[in-house]
Amino acid sequence: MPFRIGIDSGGTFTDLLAIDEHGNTRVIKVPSTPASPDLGVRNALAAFLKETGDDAGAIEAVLHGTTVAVNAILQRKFRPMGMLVTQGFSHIVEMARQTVPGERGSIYVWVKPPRIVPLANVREVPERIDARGGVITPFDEAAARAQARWFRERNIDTVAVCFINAYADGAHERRAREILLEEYPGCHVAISSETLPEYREYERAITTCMSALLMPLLGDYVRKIQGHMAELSIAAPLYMMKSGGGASRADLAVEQPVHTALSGPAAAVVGSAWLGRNCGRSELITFDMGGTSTDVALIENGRPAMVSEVEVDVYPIRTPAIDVVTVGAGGGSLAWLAPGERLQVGPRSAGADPGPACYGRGGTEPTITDANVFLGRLGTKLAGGAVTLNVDLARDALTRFGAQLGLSALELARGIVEIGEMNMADAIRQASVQKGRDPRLFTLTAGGGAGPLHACGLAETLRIPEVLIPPSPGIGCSLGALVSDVREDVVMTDIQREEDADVARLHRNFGKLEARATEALERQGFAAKDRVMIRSADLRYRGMRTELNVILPAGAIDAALVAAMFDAFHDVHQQSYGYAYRGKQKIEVVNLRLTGLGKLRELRPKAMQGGGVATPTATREVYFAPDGFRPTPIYARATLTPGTAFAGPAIVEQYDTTTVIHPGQRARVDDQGNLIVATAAGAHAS
Amino acid sequence: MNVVQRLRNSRIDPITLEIVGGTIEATRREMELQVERTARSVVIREGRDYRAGIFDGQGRNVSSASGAAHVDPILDNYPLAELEDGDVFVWNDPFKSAGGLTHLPDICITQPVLWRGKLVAYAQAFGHVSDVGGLAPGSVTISATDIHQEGIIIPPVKLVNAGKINDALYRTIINNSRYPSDVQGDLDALIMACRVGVARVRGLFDRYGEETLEIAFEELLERCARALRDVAFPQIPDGTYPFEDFVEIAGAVPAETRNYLRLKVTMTKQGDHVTFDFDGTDAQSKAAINIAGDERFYVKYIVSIFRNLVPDTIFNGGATRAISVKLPEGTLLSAKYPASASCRAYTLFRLPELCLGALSRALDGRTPGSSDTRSTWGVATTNAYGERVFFRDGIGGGGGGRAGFDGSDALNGNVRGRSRPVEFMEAHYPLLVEEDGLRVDSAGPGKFRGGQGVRRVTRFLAPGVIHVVDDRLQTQPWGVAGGKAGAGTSYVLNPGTPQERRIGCKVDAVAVKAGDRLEAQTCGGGGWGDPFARDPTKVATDVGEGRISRDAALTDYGVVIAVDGTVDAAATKAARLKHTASNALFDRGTRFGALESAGEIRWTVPN
Repeated sequence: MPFRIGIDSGGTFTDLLAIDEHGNTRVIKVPSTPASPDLGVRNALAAFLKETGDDAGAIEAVLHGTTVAVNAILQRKFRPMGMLVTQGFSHIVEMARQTVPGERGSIYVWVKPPRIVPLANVREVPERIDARGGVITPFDEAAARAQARWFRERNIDTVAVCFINAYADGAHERRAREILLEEYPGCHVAISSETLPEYREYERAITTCMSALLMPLLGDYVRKIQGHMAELSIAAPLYMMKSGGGASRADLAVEQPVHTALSGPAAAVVGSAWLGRNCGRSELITFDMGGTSTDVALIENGRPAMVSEVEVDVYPIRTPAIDVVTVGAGGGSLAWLAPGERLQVGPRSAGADPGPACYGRGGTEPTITDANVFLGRLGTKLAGGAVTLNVDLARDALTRFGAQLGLSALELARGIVEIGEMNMADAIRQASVQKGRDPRLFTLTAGGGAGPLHACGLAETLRIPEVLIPPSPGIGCSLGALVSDVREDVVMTDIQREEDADVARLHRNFGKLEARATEALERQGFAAKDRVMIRSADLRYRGMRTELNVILPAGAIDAALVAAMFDAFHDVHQQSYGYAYRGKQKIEVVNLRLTGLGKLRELRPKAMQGGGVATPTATREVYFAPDGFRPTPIYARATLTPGTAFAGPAIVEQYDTTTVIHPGQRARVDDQGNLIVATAAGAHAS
Repeated sequence: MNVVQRLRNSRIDPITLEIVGGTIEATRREMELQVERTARSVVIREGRDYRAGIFDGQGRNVSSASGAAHVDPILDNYPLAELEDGDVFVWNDPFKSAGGLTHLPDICITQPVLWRGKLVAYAQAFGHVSDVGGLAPGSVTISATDIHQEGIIIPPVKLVNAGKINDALYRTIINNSRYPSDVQGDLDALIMACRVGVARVRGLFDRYGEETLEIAFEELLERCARALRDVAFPQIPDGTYPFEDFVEIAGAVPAETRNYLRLKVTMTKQGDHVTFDFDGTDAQSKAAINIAGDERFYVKYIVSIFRNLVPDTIFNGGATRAISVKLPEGTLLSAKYPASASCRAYTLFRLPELCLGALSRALDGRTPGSSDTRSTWGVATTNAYGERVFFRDGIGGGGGGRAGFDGSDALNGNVRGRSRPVEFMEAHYPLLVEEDGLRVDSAGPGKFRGGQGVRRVTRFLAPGVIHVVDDRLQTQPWGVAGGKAGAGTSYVLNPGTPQERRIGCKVDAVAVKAGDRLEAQTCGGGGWGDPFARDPTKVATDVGEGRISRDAALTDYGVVIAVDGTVDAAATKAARLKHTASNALFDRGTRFGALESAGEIRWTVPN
């Protein structure tokens, strides 16, 4: 009975989720080992084998999402690296885009953070090509060789190569890499024309530098995991999750490690899409709330919305990524006062240590969690009794802080929830309304330890008709890893105008992209029948800054198909921005994209036995605005079987989360164990 | 009972206030994002020269005000009774903007929010479009002596009437641009941004009602004033602090015979109020560098200098309660119709720096050195398709050094402005950028030096006409507290060849041939503190990284760098012994020194 395994290493726990072909699942939770996160993964795998009778042969694949890359970026744990650039352009990274973040006057306060590559390690080589790929100055091999030796002499073993216009032709960069490796075997080299063949030199340079830096890091990590798997006799292939919501076999992932940077949030979204698909819902807004932040993403037609650039810390990274909006609102978000007595909630956070006041670990300032426990929304025993929350400490913190503003503990607690939810609602608006999507047409899915505490209230505010609480909201990332396909995204800048688009060139270039994706998928063992190719293009009206992605229809690339692609752009623009210029303005192509999917066997959840009746296990006083505290039934999630239904107000408690259901809302359990909450706003609308 | 009394009696609770304030700021950001994603003009989309704002029913700017215009022109021209739901107004006429707009390329769109039939708020967005007609491509021409030479002048009029667009007007505005699809894209982007803003503000009224929001808006304004009065101003000693500087106009326009135009301010701090009096500023010019702003307009620029005294604060229209501006009549800053204005940028950008100088005097040098971080040139040329195209570059300069930190290199001084990537330029315009990097020896020396300016060399691949709108070509950004001035700007065509030609500070049209090269070098930031007190190892690092030359290390910092790149301690000690620190608070640099010796300028207050 082959199991597929998804593993996510989070800050506190490493979660393992396994599903077999019948939909039987196993969940393993072991403490994370932040100093050496591979150990947590080994421990989870070992625990799984122990539980299932040591049958390592029953594991067909291991899919893993890791924060190793993103943490290295956030903590700026960078080894000294070098960069090889076109002569005359050694300051690309120093200058960046010359932007001062913030409002007018920030220039008097802000200080540019240290650069990722020290200027002294940026070396030039004579070469130059133009925007069409034509050679202006030939590549100077001797100079490149001298620079390679310069790096070797200083033991700078990580080098990014970024030449001007290399997106148009990577020949000089590829030759530079050959020379670097000849002169300095074992050096980690990333070249921009492979990492990201898109125009705009600063963004491409930063992305290439990141990829180079992460190569040894992710490489070491993957080698350790593979070592642990070998020790445990697991012969199954290891796949690493990527920011775009798919996986690559580990040996390929380490070649382009920058694309794994945001795999955690992406995996959670993929998991939600899978849950939705299996209960007939394809239009979802995912709402994932943890200890310090909230992630929101949009799923349309079963497909997560994508972006081509993300910002990690201060670094713009060009990488195909699921479009996740993050705001600093989590359970540990602190209330604080800005000048002028402005009450703020987050992004300052109490973190894991000392944590919220009610944890009793020395925290004295009130957090969202303190407000929730004071209002009765959160019980005092969590994680099956493993964690106890002290409501008196929460009250003390609220009272003390509230006194500064003339607010009682109750008024402040309400306010913290309201302001926190305003920030969360803002994230949902950013993911939907700001992209021309009406949240009233979506289902809100709640994940993370704190998501279900706020999802049903937010849904009312935003008039979202329905909330879906999955059976285990806390393991969304490992679920997402588990149900992912292998995914290879390739891109190429090819600027063309609508009126004289070169159909033959488009045909040729898409052919090149398809060949690259095919090769990557073949390396990972996918036969033609298991490969799916999705072609798309980034288009814009001539003169716009931002492109919109348009998916190409199936079929050979000919004049009719290219015309259909341009025509579809008007619709995408209309939907995104509310207007379009069909017949009035001309379009241009900027980037060609191809997503190659290697389809793994589709997993399905197992239908659960139903027939139960919802019986509260207890009642407690819970605060609901505007009426105040009221006796509220508490349900244990494990007792809620398919078919059971009940009305709010209600609290549903389970090991990894607590769900707050508001007065006027109705909850029922579907046959896969999802809790579906219909909002009052939705009832009025229909 | 007026609003203020009501607020005292029924103080709004801080939670509702924060929700209202937070929603207003989120709305502004949402509007700005809409503009940025859909606007066309390079100046808007890359330079981010656009603003959005929310105003209350009394026309007060309740969102962070870093550049929004005013809404008064609507009721100044249309009786309240004539306003209908779905009306959208447009204007760009500085002289009919109530002092809120400063030149014709800034097209302003405003939509009143009618809620239950009553005017309760406004949403506004404006942006700098690439061309509105006038003497030359780009509509920014120093030689215009009268605003009617600068392009189409749109008075405050209805562009959309109760939801129905006035197509005749819409098409007329677009038709008056050399780049009509840019302007069409920009106009629509601004209109849609206002629509987004109106919907969000209306949602606030649906939730909280008019009375609560009136109190909330009043309190949002008051708490900005309170932050200034209670947190920022107590850090400034009472007193009167003058400062002056000059804008360059030498040789730009025959009709303007002056070479350097004085901007002067006297900052008076008295108790919990600060006044900026611009008495002593020169009379308006025949060249296009005039501004017709009002007090509110200037306060929103000037208030930015207090940001380091009061961080985490939203500066909105309430700043005018704590800060006053006095404008004598008919000056560069209070120009009268029909003054030309299209190149007013360097009058305007100098303004916060001018006031920073006065604040620096008040704080005995505890502010950053000067930052001149906007250099602009452009080219009208023909692309590979035979179409006429216009490219405007915006290059940053170095930030001022400050106690504890060197100034940052290569910053674009527009709010969140950004550079034009080399690859963007080369993909879309007949240009080849040969070098683009930090400028050696440009940083103003200091214990904490200024940031470096930029050197960018561009080759033209097709014939065209270039223009330059810049400043500091004959002067320099000042250093403070012993810090030295940063390097000034320069533009040279075909440097190092027999055809070498220096370009002036403000030039409308210089023809270039295919193959010509333009070298643009931008300002370094002013330094802070005595450079001879700078840590010698930092000087050695700067030399090692090619930021400053060995010669400059010795002459500017008294640091001798050995052959191996390290500090020669003995020689450095000897060199530094000979140095005597200057007593002047400000260093204006050698260029100003030369102008003063030549009798070109005269300081009226000591440095």
